[in-house]
Amino acid sequence: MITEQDLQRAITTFERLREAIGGVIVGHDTIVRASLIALLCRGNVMLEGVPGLGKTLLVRTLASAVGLKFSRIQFTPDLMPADIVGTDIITEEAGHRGFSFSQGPVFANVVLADEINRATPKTQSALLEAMEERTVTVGANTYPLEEPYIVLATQNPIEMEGTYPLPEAQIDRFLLKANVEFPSVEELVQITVRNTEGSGIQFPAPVATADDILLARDVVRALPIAEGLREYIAHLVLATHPTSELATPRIRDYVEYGASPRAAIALIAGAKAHAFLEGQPNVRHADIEAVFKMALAHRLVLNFRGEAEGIASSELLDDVWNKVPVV
Amino acid sequence: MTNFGQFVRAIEQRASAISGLRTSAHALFLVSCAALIASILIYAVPGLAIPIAGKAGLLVALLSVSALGYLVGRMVKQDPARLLLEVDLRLGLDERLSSLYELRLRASRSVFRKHLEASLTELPWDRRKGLPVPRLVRWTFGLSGVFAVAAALFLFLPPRTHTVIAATTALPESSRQSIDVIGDMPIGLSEPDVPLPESLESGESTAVVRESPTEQFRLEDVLSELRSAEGTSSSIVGDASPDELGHLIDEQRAMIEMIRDFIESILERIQQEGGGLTDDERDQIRQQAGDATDPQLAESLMDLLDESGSDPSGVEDMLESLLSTFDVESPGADAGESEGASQSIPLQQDDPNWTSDLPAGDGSRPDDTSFGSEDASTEPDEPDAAGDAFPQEANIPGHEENPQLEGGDDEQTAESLGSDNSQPGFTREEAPATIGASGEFSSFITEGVPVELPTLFDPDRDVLTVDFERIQSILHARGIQEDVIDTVRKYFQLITEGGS
Repeated sequence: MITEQDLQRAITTFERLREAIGGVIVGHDTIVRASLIALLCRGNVMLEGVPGLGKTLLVRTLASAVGLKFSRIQFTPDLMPADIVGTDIITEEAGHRGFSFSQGPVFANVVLADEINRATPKTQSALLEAMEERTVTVGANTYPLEEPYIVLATQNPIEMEGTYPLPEAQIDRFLLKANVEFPSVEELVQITVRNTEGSGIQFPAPVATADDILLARDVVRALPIAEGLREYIAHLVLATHPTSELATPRIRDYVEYGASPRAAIALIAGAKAHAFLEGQPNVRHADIEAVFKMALAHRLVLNFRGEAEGIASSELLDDVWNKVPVV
Repeated sequence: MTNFGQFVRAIEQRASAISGLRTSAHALFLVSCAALIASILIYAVPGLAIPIAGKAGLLVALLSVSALGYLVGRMVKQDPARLLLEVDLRLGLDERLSSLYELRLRASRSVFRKHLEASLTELPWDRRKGLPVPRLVRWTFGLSGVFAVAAALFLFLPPRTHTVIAATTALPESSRQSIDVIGDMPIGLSEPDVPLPESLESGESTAVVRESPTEQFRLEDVLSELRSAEGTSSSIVGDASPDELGHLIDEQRAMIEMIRDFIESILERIQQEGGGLTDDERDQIRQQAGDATDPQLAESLMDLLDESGSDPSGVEDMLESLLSTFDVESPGADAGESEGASQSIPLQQDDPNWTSDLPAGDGSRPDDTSFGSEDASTEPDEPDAAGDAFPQEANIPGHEENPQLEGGDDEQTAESLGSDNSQPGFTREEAPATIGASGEFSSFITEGVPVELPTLFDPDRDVLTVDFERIQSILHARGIQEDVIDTVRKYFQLITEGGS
């Protein structure tokens, strides 16, 4: 049972967290909110944007603010799964030789998978278990990961040479996918000031603990949502399927597979987290709208025609959003 | 918010009321549409008039259906969660009502419930704005009301009347003049008040036509068709005055007399000198055949020319036969001896000669229709058993009362028809006849329609009859199209069934 004190504590925690991140990151409200939502929902976030926009800085700032263990994996074509999850090594202790498990970088609370699409699918798949089950299996042993756990992956949408697009199964495991937009003039000026004057970028001191994060997660899960909105979300997800009666003509034309049930879960969880971050005692229609594209865009699988014509999933989702009525 | 339960109940009641209104509006719309259609039909078809109680019943039915629809609509179960979400969205309450309802439904003591209840007490909201009556329902009600009022107007409007005379007001001037000529006659189409003969007053056919609106429509349709036929009126009676028409008849009569004299002269020459037709005679016959207005006469003359070439010895017989035909065809055959009533068309039929000399199968002149025959006087109410007899004399009003008819004297017959028939109105006679392979048809004699011979109408005799076949031959001679002639035939058929 969430008490008033728990609620206030969770609210306070995340207000401080947002302030701490805002002290380092200029702008990027969308991806900051997406990262916090994923943190609150026990999810993972895919950040997509060109290099130099501050994706890595954001993740490091978030890890620093929450005072959690942070690790960064730079994905390259020759990266092996063992390089990520760890491996058994031979150790000698008290005259006895044996194998002991050496944890890889995936054993952290905040994992930055930088340029994840540069690694081979085999290596990419090494993250699947960690992202979804929060465990790592090496050989016959399975090792749990420490909560709170969040993977923030980045990928460059422009550079396609030598990249391996993520399989649908792995993409579906990202709660949200946020596009990192180029900063505005004012934001860019502010970025240059912070990086070229004074002592430069100073990562924030921890303003929250792991317990605070876990408590906030419980608070978010308890946030009420009207039954009508649940049905509405179900209709939204179904409307992304080309065979659905709710599907728009463009969905039928350009989509091969619609969003999975995991998308509906992500939408409700994300809406709850968004409402919590907005200080609301319940989920609103506006909360659903705020996370709708982030939760569903990367889950639509376009068909050949859609790919050939360069159709953006966000455009198709606009159609769905405009067509499906709330009541 | 402490009275959330009451609020939910109020919302449910309002939703039920709106549901009732929606159902009521739909039902009322359907019924009002039906009422409007029915009232228009009742207004348009005079025979479908309903009593005042029925009209009041219609109003009661509208109200009853509306009320019934409302009750049925109210019985539809409402979903409070959905209703509250609708109210949330309309009033911009950030879905707090519906969320709070969920928490209360689960009996949750969550901290969020307190926050929601606290926030709702501060929010102003209006149930009417939250659940307004849908615009479609309001429009449906409005439209239904308009339909109901329109239906009531049609119901309480005086019924339309359909008369032939009323229809003539919209006719072109030329056609109206023709109608006026007819209307000026002592007995005509426009005088329904003329007392009818007893036999017709008691007849079913007359009563049916006068009372049946559908029959009136048919007669009106035929009249309209007849009037709309281009040039028909002028071809039949034209814009000519009665005097001009009489002059036209005189000319025709003179021409026939001339042909008759010519044929007689040829016959006398052949009887004295023998032989056949000379070339000069053949040329004259050919010319007169071309000038003849009567197609039958022209045909007879051409037959004479053809057959005289192949069989000169039979010319004498053919000429005699042709001369006997003149006694029938020439309107001047009787006119030479008597004026007035003797010039009317029935007088030709009264002449026993006109039936006997026509070739069999002509159809227009049955063999045994002599007015003086015993058969005609013995079975007055039944047509000839052979089915090819001309109408019996007994069917003509006043005819059977004249004993002179039994004698078969032509002049006496003509005089008796002209002077002794004192019953006004019109007479209908019908008898089946046969024309070649066309089988049985109806031949009509109708009086009171002085279309062709208005000047020949005898004011001393209240009866004037017109034979359609006569009219048909005139129409043929004037080059009237077959479809127009058929329309005239239908007109004759209608009026002889009792219309006038």
